Amino acid sequence: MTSQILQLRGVTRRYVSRAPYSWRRQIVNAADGVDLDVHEGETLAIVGESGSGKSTLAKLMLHLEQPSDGVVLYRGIPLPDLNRQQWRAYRRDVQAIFQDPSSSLNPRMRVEESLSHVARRHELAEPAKLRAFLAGHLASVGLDPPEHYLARYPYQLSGGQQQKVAIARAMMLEPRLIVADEPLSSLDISIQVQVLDLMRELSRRKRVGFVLISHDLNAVQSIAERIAVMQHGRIVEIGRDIFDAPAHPYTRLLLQARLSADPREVRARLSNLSHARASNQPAEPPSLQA
Amino acid sequence: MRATSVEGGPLLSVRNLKVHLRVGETLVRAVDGIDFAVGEGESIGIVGESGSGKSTLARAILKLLPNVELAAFEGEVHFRGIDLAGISERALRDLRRHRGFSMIFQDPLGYLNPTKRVGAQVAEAIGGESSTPVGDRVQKLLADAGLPSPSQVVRRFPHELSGGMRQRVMIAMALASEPVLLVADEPTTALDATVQLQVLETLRRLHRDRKMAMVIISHDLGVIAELCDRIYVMRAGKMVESGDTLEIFESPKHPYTAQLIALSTRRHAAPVGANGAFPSEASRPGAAR
Repeated sequence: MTSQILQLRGVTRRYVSRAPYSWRRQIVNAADGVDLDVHEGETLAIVGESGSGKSTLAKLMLHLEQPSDGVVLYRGIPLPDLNRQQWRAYRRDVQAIFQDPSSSLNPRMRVEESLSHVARRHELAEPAKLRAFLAGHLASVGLDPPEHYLARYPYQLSGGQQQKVAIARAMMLEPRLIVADEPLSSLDISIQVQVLDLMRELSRRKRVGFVLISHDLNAVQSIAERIAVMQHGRIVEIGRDIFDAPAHPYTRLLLQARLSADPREVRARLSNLSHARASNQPAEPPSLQA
Repeated sequence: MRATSVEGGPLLSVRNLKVHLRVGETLVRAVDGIDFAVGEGESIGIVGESGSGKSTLARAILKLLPNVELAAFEGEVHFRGIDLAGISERALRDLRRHRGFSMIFQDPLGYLNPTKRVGAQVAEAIGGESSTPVGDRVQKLLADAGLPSPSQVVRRFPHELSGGMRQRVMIAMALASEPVLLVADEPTTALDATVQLQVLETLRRLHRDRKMAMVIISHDLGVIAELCDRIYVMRAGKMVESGDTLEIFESPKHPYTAQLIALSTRRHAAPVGANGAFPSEASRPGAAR
């Protein structure tokens, strides 16, 4: 039996922005009546192009934004109705990782200070054992030897290492759910694979759930158990097999726009192109052909 | 190899190029002994991870690196037989203005003037005012770059355009000098997947119709596979492998190339079996030295 850790019910978030090419104001529904259940321990991916509202959804889940309409529920209770104790539980259970790890770490603090703040605030370890506690968490995200990383400032770390520190900081609280907003897009491919492996491992070993927000369908495919596709603030499709059986035209479009580095697909595309060249036809992007 | 068999030698040839940069107190060997060639009308790709030196290589070839950062510049760069190492400022300007080379970048907003309308900026690239007859050429260039309704776009400021449209404005400006070589540094990295595909299609059309040679620099093997006849793989300032696009993808010779391809394809493969241990930092394949 699974239970829902977060539920979104008819959640709408409006922003006022300027209409293109004029000074007129217009209302944008960044999230538009979204219903979504996030189950305990599942890895749910939210994909969509820029402006589709996926980051707004993340902020709503983290209570960094409040819905204009509708309600976000934590274990069945609307966020505004949580009492003090429940609020603390929510703040521990639901953690966040962001796209740009350097901006989520204080540049003037060594990694040790950054992490100790969180540990002390939530009383995670006795002062005497604090350093060992932090070292253990850094080691468990693959930053080894941990002492080496504790003494460093964020600028002395690579992007992948910074992102791992951010993951370690989130994992210290033993959360049930990590909302990760584009955690991969600023990283090299080889590092992306490492971070994905790490997320997969954490999900398997600690049963922690993920809401993985990404524009990259390739990255998401290897890890997500369920995928929600967003367009214009709405979830147009959600399911387990959107890759094999996309139901919505927009999902199909997104899948077709993927570039592949798979040798077989490269061969298919190249032969398609040379065929087009030979017959003097303007080459269609093969991925857009039926 | 095709590039070297073209009549009268290749369009661009680079021999044993070394570019060392001064970054603060330290010396970075960004490009460390590289050879490559681009034939007339050929399209080649340079792929590598961040810090591999691919952007420095492109900027060095087109003489875009500021002298203050340059600690050493050795080797030969010939463009249509002209030695670019010893070229005068005046000759370089001519190459940039007329039928030489152009470059486009990842972040068009960083290269467009926020206070000037798009039409005026493209006109400037042509070398004139935005009035007719230059105005007609501006619109023609914008249309060539794939912008719908260029007569509207000329009146817009860069911030009023979407990322894809801005990149197309950059392409229009690059085309103004009717270049025979276009160097594109991560041209679609900042764009959405569907927009990326459209911009790549535009680049392919320009390459085909104008017989314009292209050097595409990207971290994304998928982008390179879309556009390029030949691929060079860069790592830590050196070329580790080069060859035909299909050859590289189907039978990579260097382990690093094989790993890059495997990683890019594995990301959308089925989940791998659990194997307990975390990858350590040391196992990172592209770690810059």
